[in-house]
Amino acid sequence: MAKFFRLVKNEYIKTLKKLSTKIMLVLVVLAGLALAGLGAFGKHQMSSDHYYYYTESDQNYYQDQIDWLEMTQPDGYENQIVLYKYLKEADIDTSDSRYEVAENLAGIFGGSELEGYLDSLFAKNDWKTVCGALKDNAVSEGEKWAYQYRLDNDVPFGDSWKDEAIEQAAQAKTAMSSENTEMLSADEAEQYQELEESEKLALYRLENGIELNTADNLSLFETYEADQVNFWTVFYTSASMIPIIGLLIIVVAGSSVASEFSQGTIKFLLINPVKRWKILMAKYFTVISLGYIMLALLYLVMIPAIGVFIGFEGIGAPYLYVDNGTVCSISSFVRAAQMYLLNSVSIIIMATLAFAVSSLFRSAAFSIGITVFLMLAGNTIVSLLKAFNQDWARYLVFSNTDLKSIAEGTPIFAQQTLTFAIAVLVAHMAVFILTAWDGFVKREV
Amino acid sequence: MAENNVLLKISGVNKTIGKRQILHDISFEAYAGEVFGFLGPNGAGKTTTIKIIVGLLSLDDGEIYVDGADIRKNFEAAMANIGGIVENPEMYKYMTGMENLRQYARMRNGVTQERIDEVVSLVKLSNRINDKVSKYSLGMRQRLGVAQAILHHPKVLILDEPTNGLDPAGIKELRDILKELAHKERICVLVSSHLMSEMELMCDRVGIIANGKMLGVHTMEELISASSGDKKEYIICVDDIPKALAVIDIEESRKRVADGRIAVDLPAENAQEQICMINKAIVGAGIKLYTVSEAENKKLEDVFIQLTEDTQGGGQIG
Repeated sequence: MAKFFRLVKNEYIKTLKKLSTKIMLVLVVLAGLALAGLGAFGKHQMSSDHYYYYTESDQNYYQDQIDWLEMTQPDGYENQIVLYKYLKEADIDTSDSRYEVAENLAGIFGGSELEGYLDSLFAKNDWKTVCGALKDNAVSEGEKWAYQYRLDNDVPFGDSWKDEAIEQAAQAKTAMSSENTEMLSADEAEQYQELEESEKLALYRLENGIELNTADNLSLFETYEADQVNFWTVFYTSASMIPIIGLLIIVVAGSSVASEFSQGTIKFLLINPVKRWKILMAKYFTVISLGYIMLALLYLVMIPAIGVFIGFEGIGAPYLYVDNGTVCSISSFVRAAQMYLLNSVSIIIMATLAFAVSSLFRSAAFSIGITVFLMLAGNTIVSLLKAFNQDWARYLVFSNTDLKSIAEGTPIFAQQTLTFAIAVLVAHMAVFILTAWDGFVKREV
Repeated sequence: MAENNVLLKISGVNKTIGKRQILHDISFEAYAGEVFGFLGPNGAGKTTTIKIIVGLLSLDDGEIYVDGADIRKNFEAAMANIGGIVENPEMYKYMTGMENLRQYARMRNGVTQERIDEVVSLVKLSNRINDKVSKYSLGMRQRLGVAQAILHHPKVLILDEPTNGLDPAGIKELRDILKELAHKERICVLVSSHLMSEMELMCDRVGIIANGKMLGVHTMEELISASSGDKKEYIICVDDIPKALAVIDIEESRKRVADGRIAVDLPAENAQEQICMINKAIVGAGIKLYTVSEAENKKLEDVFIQLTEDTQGGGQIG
């Protein structure tokens, strides 16, 4: 074993001494920094844009509404004018949850009653009276529960993350109450379960005072408001940069054996009291472990990079999910590592392919070229075969590399289970490694 | 010479690559403390044989033992006693000489940093060992190759055409190193070459291969006496060749002109007396006599060419 690690050390020295490897490592760091920088840039852009038509202040918006209502005088416009006057006076932002509460009040009450409640809400800061009144007039299950919950747990309006969690639980409760649990189709049952989980997660957050559940984060590509971009938004999105590491590791894998032949050093490598398969395995181990070192490097670069560009706020937030009806909480760092590892599966398979082709044909260019081609074209090929109803395509490696989708139950082919996917991947890996073995161990040099 | 100490034993090795049989029943032995020359024209199968010994090529049948270890059954033990350079001394150019040697040290057991330094000074690379190999001359790379090959105290050292591309000073240096390794450290050194003249200066014994067949193994002394046989050749330089030819009183078939000089074949038993007579006759005829010298090297080369051509009908393998 000690001897094996000396072989691995040799391979590492050979690989790391090459300028190209050093450049690759720098590229990984730069990619991490660039993503964090882009995240910060996007966040800045979004915070300076307003996603409603009135780019002026909310004050002006309210005044415009009042003017318009006075001019057109639709049904119940008096109440609306009262509402906007109060909002304008209290200088309430449209994004404030009290805005919505005030709108609810205007929908239920009128005249002096409405003015009284709006007074309580804004001027007197007596939210409990308002909450009680709304509760008594609530229609849906969810609303009733929500106002009761606020009263019981002393949660005033305007506490942003709690408002959001209460809203989530209330919506789930309302939706569930309208379902007849006795007669659910398979799809409906699935939806019902999702609602249950959504409710459980919201309640768990409220009970445990968890401001942010990183599972609710959108990917950076999907965000449209500055608030949605937090530490973990960018961190989770960094997992989608793993194909870049894939390209780099394919280059290392494709040249590991081939470069010994092209440099002529293969003869000196093999005139040693070491069996060839040990040398081959040391090379393979080096390629794969270097891939994981690059992943670890990206992971470690992301932490300070995001911290500097976006800030460390929310770094302690957990990742919550429901497993078998109970809410589980894991560190978001663990979750990010899981995402990295899940995404690493396909790059490891591609690296193994490059390694095998390179041992067989002794050409770095050929093996890198063919592997990158397959990596880029693989999904298209599978999609085309699927479109032509070629069901055998489920046995192709590219139909199975996206373990994340398969685990989440959205595979490319129907009834493609995780076990099936893993079996296909293992079979392919075995073929690749045996090919490399045959090409290298039996090769006449 | 401790002839009983066989370090390298090759018996009945056959090798076919594609449809062509490259080696036919190659057998020979090499001993501790000798420089064994492996001589043959280009394409005779020297490199193929060497590659089989060091495990780069497989052997179809036959057996090879390195200090008693079968290279097929006990590859690692056999290879632990072999050091070598096959074809060109290609190293990792982007690393220094020292880094290259450390690579090989890690693949073999018991090579310390002291040993590396010792080998480096033996091949006289101490002052350049921390330069990148890409900056080395061919001679320096060849010496680095030798350093690599002897790093782990191998009992058998195999060098494939080691003098290729070396200048005369480099060849002499290498020759001295190899002789020292064989005669002082009792290593078995196997050197391949297609130049008889080179072998003559370096080797104790020579195995001749042509067209994939072993033609025989001879000591250097045997070859020298075989080359001269019952006659000796002398080269005579004079100013007036036709006149001199006329006064040399031997059979026409034994005297000839080559390269503006006269060559004469004399019977070995009284060659000295005869050359004295010829000498006297030339001087007596008033011809200017510049030099008279014994030609031997060329004859050895001739023996080699004759030997190899006889067996293969003048043909060489590509």
